[in-house]
Amino acid sequence: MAALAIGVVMAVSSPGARAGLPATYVHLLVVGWLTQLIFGVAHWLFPRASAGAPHGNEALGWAGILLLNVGLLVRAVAEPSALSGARHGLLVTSGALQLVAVLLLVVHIWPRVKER
Amino acid sequence: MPCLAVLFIRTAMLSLLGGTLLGAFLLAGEPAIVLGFRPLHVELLLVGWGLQLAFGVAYWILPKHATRTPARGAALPIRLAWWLLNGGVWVAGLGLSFGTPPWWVGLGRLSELCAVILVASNAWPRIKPFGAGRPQAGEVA
Repeated sequence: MAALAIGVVMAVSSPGARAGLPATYVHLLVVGWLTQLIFGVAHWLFPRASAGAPHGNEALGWAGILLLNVGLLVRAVAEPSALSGARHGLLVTSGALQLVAVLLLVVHIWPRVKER
Repeated sequence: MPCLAVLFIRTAMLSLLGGTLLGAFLLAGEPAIVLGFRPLHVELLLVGWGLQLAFGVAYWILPKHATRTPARGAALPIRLAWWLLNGGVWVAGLGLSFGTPPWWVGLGRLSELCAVILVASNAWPRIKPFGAGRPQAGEVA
């Protein structure tokens, strides 16, 4: 919904005002919606990790989802204004948060991608 | 989960990690050498991650053939599709990043297209209404 709302803003704003918005729009859709949906469905659907802990280490999953969303939020705030200069630190933080989040989510799901 | 699905899904997750790592450097804007690699970032995440994961899950989870063996269709075309898809991702992604001639990028994209055709050919007959293709009562399978 956030991505589509930004899409509406992009459609009605002037080219100068929408600088930075296309990248935010794409990443909210591809990371915030698609990738997050994939990991949610994988967490539900993939073979059990073990009889005792069928979903594997859930703390990793929670940490990954939290960091991914914080990273996206930081990006959504910083990126539209990045072209004007001083948001470099926020963008670096956002990239680092999303990278660690993806690493945690992959480590969480990896043991469940296995042959029976 | 069959071993080919494991191969596709694990490679997809590695592509996600690689693409995200590249994206983090792109977002930071340094080192300068990574700035030209945006096309590889896009290729890794859209094709190497999204498409490849869909292929792996589809090969695993779509209804199996009721009367044919192997039940998920021939494995060789799917194994070939893995090579074509991942080769295509790197050929096209690096080609666009380094500004190679168009035929080089076209080769990568053609490789991806062949992979899609192979996987779609496997999946197509497996996409069917519930119960279709099963022997009816009294019918010899």
